[in-house]
Formats: sequence, structure tokens, C-alpha cells
Amino acid sequence: MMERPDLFVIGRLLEALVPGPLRRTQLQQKAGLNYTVFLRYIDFLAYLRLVAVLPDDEGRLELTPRGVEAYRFLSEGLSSLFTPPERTARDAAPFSLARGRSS
Amino acid sequence: MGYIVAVGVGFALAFFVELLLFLASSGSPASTTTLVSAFCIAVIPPLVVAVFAVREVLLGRREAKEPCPPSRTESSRAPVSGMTGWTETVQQSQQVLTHMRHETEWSFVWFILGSLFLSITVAGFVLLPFVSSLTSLGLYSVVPIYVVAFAFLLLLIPFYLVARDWIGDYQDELDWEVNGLSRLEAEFFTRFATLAVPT
Repeated sequence: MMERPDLFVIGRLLEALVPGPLRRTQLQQKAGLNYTVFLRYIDFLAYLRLVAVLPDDEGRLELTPRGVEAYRFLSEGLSSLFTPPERTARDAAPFSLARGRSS
Repeated sequence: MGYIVAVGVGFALAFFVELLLFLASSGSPASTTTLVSAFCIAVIPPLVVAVFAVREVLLGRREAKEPCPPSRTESSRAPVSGMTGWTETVQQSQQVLTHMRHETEWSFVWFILGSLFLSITVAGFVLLPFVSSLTSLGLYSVVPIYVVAFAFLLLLIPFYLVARDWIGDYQDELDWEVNGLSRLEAEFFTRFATLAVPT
């Protein structure tokens, strides 16, 4: 189990697998990680049952339905965090910022 | 915003310095040389700030046109229907955070600098001669200087409050985003790590 996995790295790995299964080296290159770290993350994601190894010769990795759900959760969560409706109003009228947004 | 205030007031200050020196000069060649030197010295700071302001405006326009650097858009995709891709969202959020940090760290300095320029200009170059002439006391006697110091503080305080409010809004927003990221992380692991019991 990893001590403190980086959410952004997890997001990158899940995103890379969304179009379809990938071999480990392909996934590693897309995620831009060194192989040791990459393996730790893959083990972690497999432990969380977000990715699974396809039973083929190449040992490709694919997203599980939970993985798709996790990817959607992360993308939508981050999106809603950084693109709230208030931001448009702020940019248009910088002096009328709404302070102390409730969470 | 801070840049605009600093530039505008810097030029105003330069103008008043020039005006004062012009009124004080007798038209001799020596005073003309002084005037030219003073002009150069007075105009350089607002010009430097103006260059920074133009740079900021250009960068802001470029960011507005291209939310993501072209080199990175290839890796960004939206494969799940109706959803923004993770990479693109991360880049956008990083831009938002960078912008807010930049505003928080730098705008206040320029805002206060501009306010100082404006307060000194109004108090020293407008109010001081005016009060001195009204009271028929010397330019550097005690009463006008006290009046001017009071006016200076009176002018500076509203500027400071506006600047503090401006930065405070960005700090609030920044805190909110950073806390939101922590919340997202916690929710993610609560939701997906606790259910990960191997079957």
C-alpha cells in the first residue's frame, strides 16, 4: 500500500486508460513516470480495483467499471472546483467579488 | 490592477515634479539642465512599471485565448461523453491557482506603491503649496507640514483598505480552492479505498 499517492498521478493514469487497454510501457510513457514509481501506482490502483490486467498474452491493463467511475469522480470534482459560476462574475467585475464562499 | 494604479500615479507624480521644477526655475540654462535631468529621473520608474503592466496585459490576453499550451492539448482528451479531460482540467486549475497566487503576492505591492505615489503627490505637491500660501507661512514651516501629513494618512488609509480587500478576496478564493483539493482527495480515498476489499 502506498503511503501518500498523488491524486494528479492517479488521474493521469486513469485518463490514459479511458480510450482502451494499454501495455504497461505504453501506460508508463503516457503517464510520464519512472518505472519503479509507475509499478507502485499500478499495484495501488489494482488493489483499489480501479484497473485490471487483461487475460491476454500482452498483459495489458484496462479500466474496471470502478475505474471509470473513479475517473469521472475526479474529473468532475476538479472541474466543479475550478470552474464555479462565480468565477465568470469575478473576471467581469473584479471589485464585486463574493467573499467567503460557502463550501 | 495594481500595475495600472502604479503607472497612472507614477506619471502624475512625474508631471507634478516637472511642474514644480518649472515654476521654481528661472529659465537659465543651468535650471533647464536640472529640469531635463529631473524629467528623466521622474519618468523612468513609471515607464518601468508600464513595461511590466503591458507584459501582464499581453500574458493575460494570451492565457485567455489559449487556456492550454498547444503542445499539451494532444495529451488532453475528453473520452467520457460530456466530460472535460483530466489533463485539461488540471492545466486549467493550475492556471487559476497561479493567477491567484500571483495576484496575492504581487498586486498588493504595486497597489500600495501606487497609493503612496498618489498620496505623496496630492499631499506634497498640491496641498503643501496651497496650505502654505493660505496660511502665509513658509513652505517648510510646522503647520502646513502637519496638515499635509494628516492629509497623506487620510488618503493612504482608504487605498490600503481597498488593496487589502482586493487581496483578501483572492486569498479567500485561494484557500477555498486548496481546501477543496484536499476535500476532493479525502473523498476520493474514502469512496474508492474503503470499498476496495478484494473479492
